[in-house]
Amino acid sequence: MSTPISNRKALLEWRLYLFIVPSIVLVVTFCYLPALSAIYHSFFRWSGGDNKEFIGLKNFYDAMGDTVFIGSFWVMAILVVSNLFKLIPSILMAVLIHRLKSDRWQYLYRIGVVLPMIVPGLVTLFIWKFFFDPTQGALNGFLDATGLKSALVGMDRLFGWGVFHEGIPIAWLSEPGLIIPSLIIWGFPWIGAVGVLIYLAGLQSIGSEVYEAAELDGAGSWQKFRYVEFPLIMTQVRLSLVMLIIATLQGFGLQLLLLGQDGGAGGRGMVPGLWMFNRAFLAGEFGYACSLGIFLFAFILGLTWINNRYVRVDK
Amino acid sequence: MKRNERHMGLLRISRATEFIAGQMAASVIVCTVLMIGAAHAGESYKAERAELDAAWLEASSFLVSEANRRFVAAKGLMGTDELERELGDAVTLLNVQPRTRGNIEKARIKLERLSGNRDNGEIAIFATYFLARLHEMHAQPPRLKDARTLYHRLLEEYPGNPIADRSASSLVLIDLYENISSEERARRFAALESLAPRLQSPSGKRDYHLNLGNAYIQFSEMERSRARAIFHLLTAEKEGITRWQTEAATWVSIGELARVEGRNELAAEYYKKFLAKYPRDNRHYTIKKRLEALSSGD
Amino acid sequence: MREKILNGIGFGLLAVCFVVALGRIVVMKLGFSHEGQRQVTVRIAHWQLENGPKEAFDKIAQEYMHLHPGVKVEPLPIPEKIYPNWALTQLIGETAPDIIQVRTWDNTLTRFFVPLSELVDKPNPYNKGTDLEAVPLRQTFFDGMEGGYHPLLLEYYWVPVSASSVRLFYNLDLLEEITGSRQLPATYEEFVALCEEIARYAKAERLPLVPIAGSSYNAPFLMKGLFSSQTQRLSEQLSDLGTLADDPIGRISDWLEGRWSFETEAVRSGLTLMRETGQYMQPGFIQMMRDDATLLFVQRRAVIICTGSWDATSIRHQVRFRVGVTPIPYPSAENPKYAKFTLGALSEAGTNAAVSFGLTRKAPNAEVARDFLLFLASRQASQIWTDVSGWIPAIVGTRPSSEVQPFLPVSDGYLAGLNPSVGNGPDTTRLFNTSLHLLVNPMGSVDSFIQTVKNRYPDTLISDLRRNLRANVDLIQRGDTQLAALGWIAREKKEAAHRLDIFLQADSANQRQYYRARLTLEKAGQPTQ
Repeated sequence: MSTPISNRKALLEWRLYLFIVPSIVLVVTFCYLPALSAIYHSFFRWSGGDNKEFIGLKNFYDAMGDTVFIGSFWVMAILVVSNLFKLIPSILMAVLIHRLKSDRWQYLYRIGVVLPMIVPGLVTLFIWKFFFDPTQGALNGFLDATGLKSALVGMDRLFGWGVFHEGIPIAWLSEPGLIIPSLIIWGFPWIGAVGVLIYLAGLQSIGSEVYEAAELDGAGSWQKFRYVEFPLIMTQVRLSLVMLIIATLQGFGLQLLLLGQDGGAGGRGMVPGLWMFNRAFLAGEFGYACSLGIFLFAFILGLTWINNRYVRVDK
Repeated sequence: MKRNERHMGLLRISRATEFIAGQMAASVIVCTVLMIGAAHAGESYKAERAELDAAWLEASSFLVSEANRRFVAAKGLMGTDELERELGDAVTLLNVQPRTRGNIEKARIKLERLSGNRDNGEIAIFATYFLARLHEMHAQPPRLKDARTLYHRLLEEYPGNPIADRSASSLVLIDLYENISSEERARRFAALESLAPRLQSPSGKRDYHLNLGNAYIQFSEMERSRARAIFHLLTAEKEGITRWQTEAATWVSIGELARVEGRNELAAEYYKKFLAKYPRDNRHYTIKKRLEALSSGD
Repeated sequence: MREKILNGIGFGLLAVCFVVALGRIVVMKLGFSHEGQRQVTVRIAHWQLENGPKEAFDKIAQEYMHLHPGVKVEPLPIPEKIYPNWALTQLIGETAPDIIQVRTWDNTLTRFFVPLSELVDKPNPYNKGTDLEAVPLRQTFFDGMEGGYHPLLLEYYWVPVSASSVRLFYNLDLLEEITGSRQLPATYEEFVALCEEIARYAKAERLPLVPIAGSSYNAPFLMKGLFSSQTQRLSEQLSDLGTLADDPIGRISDWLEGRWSFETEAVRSGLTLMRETGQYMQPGFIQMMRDDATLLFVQRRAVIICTGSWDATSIRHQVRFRVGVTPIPYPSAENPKYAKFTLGALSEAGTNAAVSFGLTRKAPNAEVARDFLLFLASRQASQIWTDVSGWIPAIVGTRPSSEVQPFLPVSDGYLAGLNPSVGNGPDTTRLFNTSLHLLVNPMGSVDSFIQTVKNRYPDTLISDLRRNLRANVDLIQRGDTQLAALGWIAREKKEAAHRLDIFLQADSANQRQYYRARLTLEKAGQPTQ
């Protein structure tokens, strides 16, 4: 472990600090300044141009009574919960790769998982959009070919959902009742390359002596996962959890592309980020949108704190 | 002795001449310095004055913050120029970015000071008018009562002034577009109609009549509202409408109102004017059909 | 030693790149500053990357360079998505090209652009030898250069070169295959009959074919047009201001006062028409985007698509079949169900010229750029524009090609009726769009749509009206400083007096709108702030 240098030495080597100046300038310019500008503008009635009027906390009061904004948190909560479950396939995939005996196969699987990363995110979104197409989409094609559509229609009759009908293609993104399920289905089988690599890194840092000890204790595959692997990659799981929550709370690109700027039929796919976008670019209320962003920031900060405070990692 | 005396006399003369010459030279130097100073002061004053003109030009092109900076920076002006600078400062403060209540309040104080003294002439008129506008459009909530008082004051104290005349058109809007009973509105219409003889400037008269005409269309429950609307729109048109959108809308309105009133000749006249001048307006075909129907007596 | 050499090579490469880049900048700077001695370069930025317009700009630039050998015109095509940010960065950084394409700009526009008003009343020298030789520039545009005028700044700021219209595009080969004829429908009745025939054919042949390619982008052109035709008479009845102009505040006020609603017969009929046409589009079309509909049409899975003239060249470029074009067909006077509410086809006479260019304040070669703008506005350039781009020309007397002909705005038509999202404000439009599935989905109906939205409309209308009021207040407030300045300058300068006079009339009109909106809110028992 390296020892910290003294203050005196650090001052003597001041030139070294110049090397981090470009990074600091870039971070401040592109990360902190826009955020500060958003905080500043949230106190104004501002439509994006030069003209703005100071209105104090009015935007914040309005946001607190904004039913669409509040409602959008429910949609977001559903998506956050569903995304928690979407972590599982990545963890399982990482464990399966890790347990492969052959290094060569491990390597090939890792490549297999990483390869889709080179496909631009937008292309993935478009492919999924195409999957959901009622007339030409793969999803409806699959349901029709397997006869699952008839089963869904039967269940619909039984439970009275009113979304699946005989002879009518399923309109995944234009039927309010199907919008949230569609957003949850999106990304199936939910194996994220980054997640798998992070968990793999965690798994590979587990010493072989731990496995040997587990085997001596008579642990089977499941017990090894339950008592050895999973607890020891909790740091990585927690990191993924934080990243996932932040991405779900901030993200609206998926909803914008699949459902449009109004949140789709019945506004069912409206998430806070999309509402922010809608207010700024459709209603021309940039100042108000900034105040929504501040609320969102506070919310994310709170959740991250809860996550750090209560999702404990005991090794 | 005499020689000595003469010598002394010459010496005195010589000293006196030297003194006078010295004095004269000093005076010339002092005068030159003073003249250069004065010229320099004049130059600097001219520069400040030019700043003022540049500031007005910028303000007329929506470059308000830049204009305000110039108005604030132009120090050392005197008399009317200084008052003009203050007026410029006040009216630009209304829109200096970001707009704040503090700036509006500062503008109000400045405008009140300038409008208070009638000796300020045109500056007082401008200040009073924009003070009324401040109460009407910039204050939150609007102080329409204060605005009304000032508009009336302008009409009474500065008859015939184009800016003061503009008050009448504002009064029409403030008084009529309120959620009041029909009787009260009729009473207000009558009071506003009585302002007409006081107005002298063409633009003031035009906008007053335009607003009244449109108000009669809006509040069609008023007695003889269509006839009154036609009268006011025609009067406005006589004063000269120079904005094409307003002209096209006014001509169509006159045509439509006249058609409904059965004044077919008047309707046809305005339909024809519209068709001739606005061939590419999307109302063209509709008006053409209206005119055809009028001609065929339908 | 080896490491040192490697480091040296790396550093050397960097140094060479730096010197080359610096050299380029110096050369460019020198090229700009020594006008006459070196070649003058005028850069013109635009976002028209579609097939056609890009080539048209290149051709116009070449033609100008041919006339002026000392000048180089460099068109800079920039993708539309990044254009606004790119343009603003360039303008603020004072590195903007001499001429740039503009869309709606804030009033701070004056910071960046030069007003062109002094040019508009003089003839365009590049029209010499044509019938426009003595015609003022303004009058050489089919819209009187309305598309180049900033109504608030009261100045002409840009030169438009084109215009647009919405049309129905037909796959003629498929049409012939299905109906045995290439005859295109002229009325709504014929249009519906054709759609029926296509649907029957697709069913009989078990083909994945729909009559109309729909999407959230394309469908509203057709559906709102048809709704508008059904509410023409109603609109006339409501338009008691008599200007016959579009009046969002008036319509919102009328709705709140109960003068019309979704239960009004004409409105219901408009909604029925919307549903009827929606049934000929692919199920779930409202979830589809512009590209999805185009793909459907291009892949011969739809016979008809409704879109703007701006898509014409791209569509023609992508398809391997003949394309027919018609205006939107409206119900005829004989239609037993729909005729009583309509007046006739909608006028497109009010179409403004578009694809506009402004001269930047910091243009390195302002004079040459101004001259190029005049060339761009000439009959000669307009002819090149329409021939090469296949887009509508903005200059009168330009001969449109047979491909452009069907897109020329139709001026013989009646005024549009009402908009189904009433004042077209963002909240009402959002409510309408998010409820549209109830109207057009196969299991939906006019009644279910009305039941869902009718009680929520007043709230959204009021919120949009309040937004409208606020926008008007902004406009008036911002105008006050300009009004004072113009008033002050006009005491001595005649040209300012004219601007002031125009300004006063615009201000009066804005104030009338403000007080009308205010009164409507007061009557609805709503706060006016």
